[in-house]
Amino acid sequence: MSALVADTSILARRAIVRSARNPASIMSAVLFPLLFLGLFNLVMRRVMAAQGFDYAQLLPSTVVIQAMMFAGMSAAYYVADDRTTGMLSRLRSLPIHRASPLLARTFADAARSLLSIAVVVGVGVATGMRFTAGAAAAAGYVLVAVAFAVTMSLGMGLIGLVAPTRDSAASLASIPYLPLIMLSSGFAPVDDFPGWLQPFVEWQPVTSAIDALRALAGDGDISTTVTRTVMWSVVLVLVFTAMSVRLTDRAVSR
Amino acid sequence: MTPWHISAATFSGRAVRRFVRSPEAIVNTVIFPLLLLFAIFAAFATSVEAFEGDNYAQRLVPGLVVSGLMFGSVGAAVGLQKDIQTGFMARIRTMPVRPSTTIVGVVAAEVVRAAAALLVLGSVGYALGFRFEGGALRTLLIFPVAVLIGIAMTMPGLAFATMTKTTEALSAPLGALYLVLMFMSAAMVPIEAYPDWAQPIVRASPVAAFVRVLDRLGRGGDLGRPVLWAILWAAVLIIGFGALAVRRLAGPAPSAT
Repeated sequence: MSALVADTSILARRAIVRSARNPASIMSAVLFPLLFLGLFNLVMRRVMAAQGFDYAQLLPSTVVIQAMMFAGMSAAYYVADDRTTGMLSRLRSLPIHRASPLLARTFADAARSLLSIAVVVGVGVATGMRFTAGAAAAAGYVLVAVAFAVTMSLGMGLIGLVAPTRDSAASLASIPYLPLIMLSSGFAPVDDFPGWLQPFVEWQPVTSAIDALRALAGDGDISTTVTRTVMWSVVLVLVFTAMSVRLTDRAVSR
Repeated sequence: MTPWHISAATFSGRAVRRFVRSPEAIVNTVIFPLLLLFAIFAAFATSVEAFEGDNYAQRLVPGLVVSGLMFGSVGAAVGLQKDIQTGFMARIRTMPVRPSTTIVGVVAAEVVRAAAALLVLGSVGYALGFRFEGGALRTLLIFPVAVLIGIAMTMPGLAFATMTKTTEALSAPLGALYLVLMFMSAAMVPIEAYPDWAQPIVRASPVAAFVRVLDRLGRGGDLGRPVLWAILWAAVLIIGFGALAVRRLAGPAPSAT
């Protein structure tokens, strides 16, 4: 157990240092979320205000979840990098705990997600967002967001295990990202979507996480939205972890 | 010295094959804009149609053709950077061809890219309600104008590719810049939807000028001034950044480190 902790902390530190030294990682953790927050406000605020959809209060939670997905996309990139350079196989040959590479990556992505949450919520509050459900709910806000980042990191990390190169991993990871974030309650109310699409928009995990964050900030029912999000997270984390283990075995044995 | 049209043809074939065989380029030029078209339409058609009155596909298809060409050009820039960094360009310099003819290859790939973007976005847009309402002549003009726009918007990336060494240092800033330009171009909403202070900025943007000219070719309406502005911007980008890229390619050999 102590080996697991020690090995994981070393590898987590490596992952954090590596992305902290990569300008592209900083851009995707900080700059891109802020750009999306500012640009969607600029382009859609007037149009959405006419629909009774208040961007100042609702959009920051969308962008927080979007930033958590960016953390997942960066996981796809770094996993593919470790796989194609042979780092993954090298780690397998060392006397370290087998679970530590995956755990370390997850910790590093959770740390990165805290930075994104702080920046987006900070700017959101400065531009009119309010937390009206109390301090416990605000703490829950951070927890739900980090849990979603971990889910995305595990899920999109799978793309890194199968994509031919690290650049193609990043491109491929954008394919699930875009429909999930756009076809959610994030930028437009669910009722605005075509009728046949509404069941998907309503029940998919990204909508669930965004609705949970909004509820924890004071807009919506906390217990139903958070329960739904926790259920999604548990199911997805179990599935993605199992698949990660299998695909990592296959990737290193090649 | 190999006649320039022969080396240009060779480099064109290479660039086109490289585009067709690169999963990233296909994703960026075709699949991503297609997903974007469908997803933005699904999310915003109700609200923008309530705001503007016209079918949303009529606005969104030209907007996303331009965006697709812009984001797709990152691939061309990364390709050129790889050519420089791997020593391919240095190798070309030792051969009896003009290094600047490689740029012709980029242009040829642009024709293929524009055709792919128009075909795919046009047909899906048609299913969403996009119609050519500008008459036969304007409809025929869409393809050459899109090629010109594609070439113009590729040039800044090419120039930037000659000045950077890693893919990340090239594609991340370009991606951020293009994101801002896309949002500031009235590709998704009419200019009146922007805050008052932002409207003059949107009106002045080159990308907005390109979107507007394609919009008028597809939807009809006054064409004179939009065409003039689009040509002016295309000329500025092609001459300014194109010359910069060619000069850096033809100048002292960049060290391949």
